[in-house]
Amino acid sequence: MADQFTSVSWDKEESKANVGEVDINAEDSPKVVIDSSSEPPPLESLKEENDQTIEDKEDQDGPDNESGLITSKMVLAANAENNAPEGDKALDVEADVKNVNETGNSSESKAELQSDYAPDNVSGSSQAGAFSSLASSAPSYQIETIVGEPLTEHDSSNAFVSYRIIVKTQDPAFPQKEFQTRRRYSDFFFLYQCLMNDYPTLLIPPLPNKQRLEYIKGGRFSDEFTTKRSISLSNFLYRVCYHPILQKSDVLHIFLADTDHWNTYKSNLKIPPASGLDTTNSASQNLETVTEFIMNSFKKPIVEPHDKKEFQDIQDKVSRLQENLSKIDSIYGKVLHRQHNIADDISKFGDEFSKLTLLLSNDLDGSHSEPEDLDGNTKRLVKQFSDFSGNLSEVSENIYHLDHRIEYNYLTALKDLEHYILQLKNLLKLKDAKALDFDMLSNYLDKAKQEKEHLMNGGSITVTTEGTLSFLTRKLESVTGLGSRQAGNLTNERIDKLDERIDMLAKEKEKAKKIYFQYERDILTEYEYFNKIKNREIASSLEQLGKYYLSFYSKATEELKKLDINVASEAFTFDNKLTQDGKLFSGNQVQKNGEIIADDIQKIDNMTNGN
Amino acid sequence: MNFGDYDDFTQDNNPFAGSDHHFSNGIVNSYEDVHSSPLNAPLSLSPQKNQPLSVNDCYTIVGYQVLGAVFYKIHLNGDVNDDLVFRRYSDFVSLRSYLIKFFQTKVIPPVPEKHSISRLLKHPFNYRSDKQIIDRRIRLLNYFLKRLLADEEIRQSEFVARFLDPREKYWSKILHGPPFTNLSSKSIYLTSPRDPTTPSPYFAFLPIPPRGQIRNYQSDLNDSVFRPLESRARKLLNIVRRLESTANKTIRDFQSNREALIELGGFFNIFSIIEDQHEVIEHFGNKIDLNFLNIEVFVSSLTIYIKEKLMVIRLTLLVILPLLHFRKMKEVQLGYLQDIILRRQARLKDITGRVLGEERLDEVIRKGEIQSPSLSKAIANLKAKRNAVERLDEADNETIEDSLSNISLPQSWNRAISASEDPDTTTTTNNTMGTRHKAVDKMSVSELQVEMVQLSRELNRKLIPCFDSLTKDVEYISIGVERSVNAEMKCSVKMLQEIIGNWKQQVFGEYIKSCTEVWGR
Repeated sequence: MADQFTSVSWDKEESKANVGEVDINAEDSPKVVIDSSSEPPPLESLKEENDQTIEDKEDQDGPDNESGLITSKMVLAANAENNAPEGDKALDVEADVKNVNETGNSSESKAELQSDYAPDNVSGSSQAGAFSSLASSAPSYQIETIVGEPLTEHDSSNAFVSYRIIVKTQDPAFPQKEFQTRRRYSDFFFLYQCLMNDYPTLLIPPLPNKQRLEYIKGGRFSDEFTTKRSISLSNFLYRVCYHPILQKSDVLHIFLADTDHWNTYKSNLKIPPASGLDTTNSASQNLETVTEFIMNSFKKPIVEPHDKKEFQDIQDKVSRLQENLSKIDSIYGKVLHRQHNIADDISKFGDEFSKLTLLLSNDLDGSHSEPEDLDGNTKRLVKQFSDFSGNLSEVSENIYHLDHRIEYNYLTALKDLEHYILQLKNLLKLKDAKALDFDMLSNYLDKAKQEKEHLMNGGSITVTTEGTLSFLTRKLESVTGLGSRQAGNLTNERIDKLDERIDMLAKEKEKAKKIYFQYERDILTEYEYFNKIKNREIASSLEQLGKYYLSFYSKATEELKKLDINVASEAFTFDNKLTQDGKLFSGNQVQKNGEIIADDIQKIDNMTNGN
Repeated sequence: MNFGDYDDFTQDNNPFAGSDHHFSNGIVNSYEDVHSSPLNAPLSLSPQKNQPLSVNDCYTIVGYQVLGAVFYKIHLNGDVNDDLVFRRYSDFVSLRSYLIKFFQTKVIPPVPEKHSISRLLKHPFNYRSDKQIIDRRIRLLNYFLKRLLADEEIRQSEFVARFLDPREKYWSKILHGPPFTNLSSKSIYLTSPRDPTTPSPYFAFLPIPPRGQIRNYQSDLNDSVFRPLESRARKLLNIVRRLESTANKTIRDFQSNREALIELGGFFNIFSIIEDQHEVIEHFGNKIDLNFLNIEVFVSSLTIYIKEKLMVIRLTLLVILPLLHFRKMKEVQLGYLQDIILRRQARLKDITGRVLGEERLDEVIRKGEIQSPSLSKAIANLKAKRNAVERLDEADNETIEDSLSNISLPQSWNRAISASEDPDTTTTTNNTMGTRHKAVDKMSVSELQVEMVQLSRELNRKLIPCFDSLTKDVEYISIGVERSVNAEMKCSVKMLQEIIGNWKQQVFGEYIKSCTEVWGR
């Protein structure tokens, strides 16, 4: 539905030579000239619902373009059966178009407007000038960004986490070549929203979810959560900065470099935090429900894309990639889990080994002998064992560390890439929706033409022909104030009306076609960009991953070198306490008794013999 | 193996149990004879005299052959041209069981354990695991041979010589002849550790102490030397057990990690194809593949160089502990015998005292009146007492025979006595036992004299020589056991050191080296 609005507002903007600009916003509107993005902003339901303040202006500039309004109403009417409440918002939409334009989108960035911006600027004129010169000269500069160092901060009411962004660039548009700033998640989200609004046909990199399920476990301020998020945000900014169009967007530049202005815009365009719950923005989701509705009535777009095969290829490739990535993701998770087990095993092995040192003390009478009491050989042995144990726990620590790095960096990058693909798929769906719009309008037009022909040929309006007219058309008629019954009786009048309608439909059809082609064209270039970014990301993340492994192994090699294995064991002995000549059982009772008895018996013998 | 298993030696159904060894003639042998016979003297009796093995001879198992059962091929010095000796696993086990009996104070190196039944059920016809088991057995049996031949006495014994003699095709046949049948008793407690082949008459009187004795047994020797030794061995055993199970778990975890890595490598390869042969991905996939190959090598070296070493240490400790137990039992046996002797000696002392008294009385009576009224009265009292005893004696004479069946001595003792081949001693012993319950004061002079002669003969001819011999045995065992246990413990410590060395070099060192190569590319 929003798409229809888009076309409507587009007209309006054109006719309306940029009237009520608000001062504070003036500076940023016309900075970038980009051919491919000369598309009007989509009207997101999000904005519709929230930017109530702008509605006041509706009265002034509302009715200036009737045809646009009518078209929008017509389309709305088409959905009226199922989506009645949405119809009411038709007017709000009008207002929002303006609002969105005011808040720093570049849809107005047409050449004719470009010259006008400077005088209005009060606070940031020099900066804006810099921006504009950048925009026109427009060579691509690389902007390198690194997001990191999450920090929990407190404002008056809430705690929040801010992330440091380090920017390095040769782009003269920025005050310095290297600088840093802190932004919180909602800033990123606002940037994302603005980009979505400003460049509806482009593939805007997705933001990490506000709350992913796996993030919940540690809480919003846990290290794990913020670290992963900072990595995801880093990926997001990397993608934006690498995108040749987005990298030049004013929103981005202000976001990166100009905290004061940024905060002003942000506070004036309050995006409620709740709206950020989705990665795929709510606008596109809204769009999807509408598209689905249309899909149901039309099944398949009749209009074939110019490069049908190409789009099909994109779709297939992307899906396969996505599937593969999620497989790799889950298997890597498995690998990490097992690596974790191995680390546990190794550390346990080391622990047990360290217990061996207790056994080396020679007198094991239960008391633990102090290390100082041991002789030199034993000491060396004890040291060897405890060194080994220490080495193993080091290895185990390093494995944990490796696991950690892989999980935080590589797996997060994988997930981010999956999201990026999802975003691309959404864009493709959006394109299909545009195709449907075009189909629908062509359909109406054809029918209107048929009807006209029929009437011109003297045929009366029969129930059947009437029946062929869609429900939507009838609704449209009722809106324009012409009852169908009435019209049926006055053929000429009806033909006039039909002419009018045909004109209008033809116009709309052309517009829809234009938009559709715009999408089609943009998607192809966007896909190229996507591919480039994706390839770079895959390559750099794998390179990084390889480095992690390498550093793990070389560190382990270093550690292992320290391990002394040449401790002589020959000198060490467990001493024997018993000796061959030592009398173990001398002087025992049996012997003594034996002597006494022998003595007695001797006496007895003497006595008996004596007799 | 545990104590229970060890104790089974007493009930061992030995193939030559009850065969014609020279036990019966032994009773008249003098103690000196036993002592002077050199350890390997009986070996010379065997018809086939072997050249003793030299220190440099190195017997190794180089392979195996399946001839209905698995036979291990033993080579001398790795010389393939030499005649091969074929022995089965069970031959090693039986050799070992004999060596334990013939070298009672030595730690006979362990042979690998039997397959567990559960494993057999799990892989009934699994060739690969069979081969793994056989390879492991070869390694461990080689260790067994190496350690066995490292001991001078054992190496020069005929058991080993014949075991390694290629002319002896059938091991089980050898077992039916000397020296294997020379063992003087089927119970390890009834042979002398100094020379188990020569029967000593005195072992006929050796009691096998009841099991309960050992629980409360205490002696200075045990407390000061062997209890610490045992507790050290036990602690080491516990640690080694945990180390071994951790090593096993590590191996399992590495194996499952390897499987996951194989899967991962596969998906990276698919990934690289999807991504139009993206080189980086392909390289990465190859590295993952190489990594899992490294793990394979790592796991096998971990198994051979660490896990099996730990297993050997554990099995050795499981030999040490029964050895310590055996020594303790010997000491308990000695204490038990001493108790018996002391009781008899006490009675004999009473009897000799009485006889002396009687003799003195007679002397006085013969000499006539003594010049003291009070002493005369003492003599009169003694006379009256003697007469009373003689009357009582006549009355009790019949009941004595009945009480013969109520013998308070332990069965084994009684059996050992009756098993002796001296009919004269047996009958008189029975008689003395009958009168033994009678209080010394109530015995007549003639009875006293008979018992005195019998008792002193029993003590001097049998029990005390037996006791002396056992004392020497226990001494010999104690010294020998301590020496070999300490040596073996030292050996274990050395093996643990080797494990550290192996970890650094062959096992983890190699793994890390090859992994660094893989990831460094």
